[in-house]
Amino acid sequence: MKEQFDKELRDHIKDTFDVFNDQMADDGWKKYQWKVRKRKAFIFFKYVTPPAMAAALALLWVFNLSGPAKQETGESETIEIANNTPVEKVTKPEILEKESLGNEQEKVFQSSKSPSENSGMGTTNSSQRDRTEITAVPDLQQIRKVRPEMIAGTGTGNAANFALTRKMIEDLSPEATVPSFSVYEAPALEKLPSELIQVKTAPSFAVQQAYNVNPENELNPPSPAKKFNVALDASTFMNFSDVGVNNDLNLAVGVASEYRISKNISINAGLNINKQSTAFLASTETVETSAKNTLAFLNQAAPIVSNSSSSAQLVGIDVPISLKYSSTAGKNFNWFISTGLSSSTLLNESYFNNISIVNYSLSGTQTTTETVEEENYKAPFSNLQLARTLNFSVGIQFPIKNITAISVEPFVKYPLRGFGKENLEIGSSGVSLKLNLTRRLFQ
Amino acid sequence: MKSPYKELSDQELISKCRRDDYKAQEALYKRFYAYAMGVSLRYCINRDDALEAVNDAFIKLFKTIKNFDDNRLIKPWFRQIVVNSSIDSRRKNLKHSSVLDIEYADTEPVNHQIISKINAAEILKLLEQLPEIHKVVFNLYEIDGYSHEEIADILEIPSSSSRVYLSRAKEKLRRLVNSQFYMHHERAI
Repeated sequence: MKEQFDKELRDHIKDTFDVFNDQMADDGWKKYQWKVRKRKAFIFFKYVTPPAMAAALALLWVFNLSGPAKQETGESETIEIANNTPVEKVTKPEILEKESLGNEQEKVFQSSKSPSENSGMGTTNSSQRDRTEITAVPDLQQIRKVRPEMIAGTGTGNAANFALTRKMIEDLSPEATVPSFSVYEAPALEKLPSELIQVKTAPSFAVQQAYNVNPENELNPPSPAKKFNVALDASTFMNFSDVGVNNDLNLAVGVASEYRISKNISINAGLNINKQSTAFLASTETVETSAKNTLAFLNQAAPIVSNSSSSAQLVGIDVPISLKYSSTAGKNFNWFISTGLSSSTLLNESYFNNISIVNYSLSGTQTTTETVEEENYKAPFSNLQLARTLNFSVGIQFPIKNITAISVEPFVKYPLRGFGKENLEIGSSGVSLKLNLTRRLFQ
Repeated sequence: MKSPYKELSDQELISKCRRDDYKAQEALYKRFYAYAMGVSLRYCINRDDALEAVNDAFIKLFKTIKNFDDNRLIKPWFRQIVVNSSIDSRRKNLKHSSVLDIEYADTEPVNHQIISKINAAEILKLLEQLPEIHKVVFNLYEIDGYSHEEIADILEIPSSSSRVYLSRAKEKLRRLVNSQFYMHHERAI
């Protein structure tokens, strides 16, 4: 009895759901498309992010950027003393930048003073013979207190080195250092100190950071030349449109410029040549036009033309302009965020229409012909669209020793309007690598 | 212009889908959507989860369709994909499921004729009232034809548990049908 009931219930459920009717297929298809797009975007970022990170790390490794962080940040400098005596030494990175032309520079001081004499330099442990790293102290009280003794102890160096040191201190605080230095004149510096003092100044990137965080920077604003940077820009990206994310990996190369309008904010502009590709649903007219050639060769009674798929490959020029906010919080890198608009024009347009022609002949036989029709339009600088895409990017900038800096910048360009013959709204998302062009790079 | 895709056979659609024909994919989706929902709804907690599982199944279908053996029938193969997706969805949403106490129903003599009057929505309501694991085991074994060993593998439970759950599911379904449909049927008479 029970078994019979169970069997009937099972069969009924099977029969009912085998012919289950659900009218929400269109809604389901829309959700499916959305899900596929989301998944493709996820896959894209999953595969693009690790190589981008790996590339950045490889570059760091290649340029051997694993040196002490303090040298890179410009917040301190290293003094190596051969025999003893930790010495508190004060620097101002911007001044060092001026003196050393923004580059690493080594100054060697020879001191003829004995260790016992050095103990009177305002230091704490004269018997210690270790290499000592000294951190910059922007405290003027400490400058007043330490600096004269230090100069008294090591004040037998050559006149040029002394002048450098003096300039550094004067620039830090004229009121604090001038009275102290008035006692020590160049003739007193004839004897060289016996200690080897190695001064390493900060690289330009670090100096810029130090300038940004230094409250006294109003005294020495950067020159207009330093406000302006030019960089080489190479981007790899994928395009997306209403139809979905295109699988082709495209490339753009060009130049980018940056003009700093305040400590953290800058205006960026650039120009790059790029290739974009996307799939799209061609208009009926386009399909029919494309099919005409094929139909001419087919002797068919009742052809039904349909467009399986269409794709576009566009070569163009992109002119982005953006506002960038840079943070100077990081020691080894800066992060930044930028947003702006891109204007575009096209150099070459290629469209590929996949045409499917189904023919029902008089005998009732159905045949299908599929062809790919290519359309090419070469109208350089046509279709100029101002503010075609809205751009957003976040990135990090690494210094490459004291030579240059490189930035890794994932970006998204959201289409605001269509362009090209098919008026395609194509966005893109990818990673941009920018290499700052500096004089040192070409030396 | 008339779209020819609706008139194409399953096999023709499959061969077009293999060439990443977007419209063929859409046509195949719409053709198998209801069938897939019929399977998925029986497993999932609600309609949204069922649709999610169905879309996952279609993604798997279009991804693996290039390797599909033409000698096989697509429906049983796709049914398997939908069942697997639904079970995965069940795992994800397990914490949201609830178990209802249905012990209130008394065992009554059942009327077999009323079974044929139960429609799909009512069947789903009946299944919803089963404890979640009972429902899944019942669907897998009775409707989709899996063995207890296969169910044990899929659900990561002992096969003896699968047998027990099936037995309880059937028992509870009998009670539910009896209490909800037999009574109404009697009243209607």
